[in-house]
Amino acid sequence: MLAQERRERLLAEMRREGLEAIIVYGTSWQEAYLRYVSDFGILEADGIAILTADGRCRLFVENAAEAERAQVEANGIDTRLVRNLAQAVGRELEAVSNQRIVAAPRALLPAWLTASERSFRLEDGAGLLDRLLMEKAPNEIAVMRRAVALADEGYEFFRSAARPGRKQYEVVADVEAFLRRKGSPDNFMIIGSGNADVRGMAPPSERTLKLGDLVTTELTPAIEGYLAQICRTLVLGKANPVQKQAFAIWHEAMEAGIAAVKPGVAAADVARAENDVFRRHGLGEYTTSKYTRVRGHGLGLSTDIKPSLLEDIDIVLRPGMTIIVHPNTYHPEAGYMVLGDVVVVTESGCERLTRTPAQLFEMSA
Amino acid sequence: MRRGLISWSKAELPESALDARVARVQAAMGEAGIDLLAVYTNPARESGVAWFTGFIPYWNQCVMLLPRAGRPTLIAGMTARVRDWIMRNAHIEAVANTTKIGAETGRLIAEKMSGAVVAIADIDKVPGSIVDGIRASAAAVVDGGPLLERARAPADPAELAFAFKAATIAHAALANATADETDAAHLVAAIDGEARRLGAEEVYVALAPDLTANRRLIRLEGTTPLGSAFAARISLAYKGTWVRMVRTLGRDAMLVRDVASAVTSFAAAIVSLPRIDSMGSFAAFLIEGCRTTTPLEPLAGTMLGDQSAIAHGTVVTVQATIETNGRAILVGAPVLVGRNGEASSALVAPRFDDAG
Repeated sequence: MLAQERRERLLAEMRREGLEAIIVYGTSWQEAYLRYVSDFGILEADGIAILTADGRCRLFVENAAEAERAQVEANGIDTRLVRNLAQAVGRELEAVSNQRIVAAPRALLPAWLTASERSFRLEDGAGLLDRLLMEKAPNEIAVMRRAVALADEGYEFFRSAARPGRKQYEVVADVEAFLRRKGSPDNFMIIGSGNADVRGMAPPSERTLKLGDLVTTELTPAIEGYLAQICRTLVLGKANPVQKQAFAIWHEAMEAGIAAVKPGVAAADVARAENDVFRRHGLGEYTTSKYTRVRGHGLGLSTDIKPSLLEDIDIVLRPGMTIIVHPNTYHPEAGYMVLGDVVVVTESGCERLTRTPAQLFEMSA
Repeated sequence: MRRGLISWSKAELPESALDARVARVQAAMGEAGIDLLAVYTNPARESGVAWFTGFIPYWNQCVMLLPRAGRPTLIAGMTARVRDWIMRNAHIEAVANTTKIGAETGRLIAEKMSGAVVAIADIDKVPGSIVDGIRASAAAVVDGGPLLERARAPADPAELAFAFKAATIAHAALANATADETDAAHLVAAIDGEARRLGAEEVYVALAPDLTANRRLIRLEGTTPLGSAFAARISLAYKGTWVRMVRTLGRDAMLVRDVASAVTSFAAAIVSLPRIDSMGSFAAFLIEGCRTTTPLEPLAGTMLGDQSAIAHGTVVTVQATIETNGRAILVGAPVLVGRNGEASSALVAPRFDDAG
């Protein structure tokens, strides 16, 4: 079982580093560490799991619905519903307070747990977990392949749902229902529609889609907790010359980024390969944080794991990493455009997992 | 992570309603000698900042700083590219975008109000990195939870309207489920899609796919056959206000009669809330509500060792497992807790066409 396999990998790392316990925090937008350790996909409030070197795992949650779910979904893990998450976890940690304990992500732990007056000390363990989250085992990559295939299907459905006259949130509702029918319990999705007035994607609004709009989306369905993303741009109608010329730059940038992905290169090198294309076309300004967050990022048990593809990130790519390369940003005449494919880093380079054509889609009649 | 409709509707939540909430809290801050109130938010803990500003983070985390006079400021973990989106969807003075929220919050306090007494709502639940940043610049830090809890009860008309809208969406979504459905994934899709099409900000659907085998409501993945009797629970938010509703369905005429009976028992029991003794005959029950910053916080129930106070004039969600003719019927609905001796009442009765 994948969850057991993950836990065994972590326990081996803990033994290597001489750790007695690791505690992981999770909430709906920072779910990866908790999912890795407990296999529980948290939705409401917060949860913390403690894994000790003897392989025992305990999960503490503060929401009653989550406790009920976890008793079934987190196979075999001792789950407790508690009023005060920090103090309940703290009581457990007191038993191992004289040994090495790491926490991930330490910065998000409730203040009570990291206060100096506690009898235990929590070192930052995010680096250890991040390594495992990034460098996936073959069985994890197999699930990622299925998730990417679902993202491809999801985007095909999205193109049929995005029609003039519909509101953004109605389109997203249809996509969500499609993914639920496919058995996917979760998805992350943002959207944009319009032209040069649109500076980015956001959660769906009441904005009505219109003929001529550029409709952008980042669609990220989950399978067994693994999330795979696709980014594409659709023109509601025929693309005009400005949109086509702009998209050609995005395409060139994505391909340049993917061509740079191989073991041993830094995340910064991939970002630079993408951004150099924009700079060559006189659009370097639009690669900055004023217009774009990242030029891609890792995918796995969260929509956004390390490494971020940015020119100042020196994380070295290694086989088993799954990454989306997406040079998403604003174009001053066409508006916000997106394009992103998922790749897995192999021993010699990378393999593209996304099958949807890397093109500027046009609405068919 | 949110992917339903997120937009501040000034028709439903006018600026004056938010200003009145802020003024109520600022008056309490003055009486308590508090200079600044800090409220933390993320997609799982949205209820505090949404109540003050209308703002709901679709991902990431933020801190709201409220001075004793004036509008709140937001310190947001998102990059500057979403600044305009935040300003369109939040009734705030300003937003600062940073990846180091604790340090930036501390810097702002030092710059604008050095030596302030700062109350942090639900301080025990706020990340240490943020509390440390505030402590570094504040003269004193206290828990702002009790102050916020007092200010939020009873619920004001805008909050009640959101709860009623959320309950209406929940009912319509569950009404979209049919007893002859045999595939859990299709059932979830019917409920989830309908709720989002009606404007839900977020939707979680949990099922007990075969009540004869297990009563627990879980999130399913892949394909699961539905038993002859099953239950569905929808948890959803409408503009920051969360409710749950539960419906039991099945392909059995006797079950329909038992569901109708259980719904009647449920309706009779909720009338006496906040007293919970009438729930004593149920196999299990759970009452949840928002007191400060966390939606659907457990307040009372058979899973809980102790009970929290249930405030008059607030909306809570009640779920019950009711044994009827030897089988478990799951029922749930949001309830407005009566004030001044008034009976409590379901916002929308958990009654559907096939349940009488």
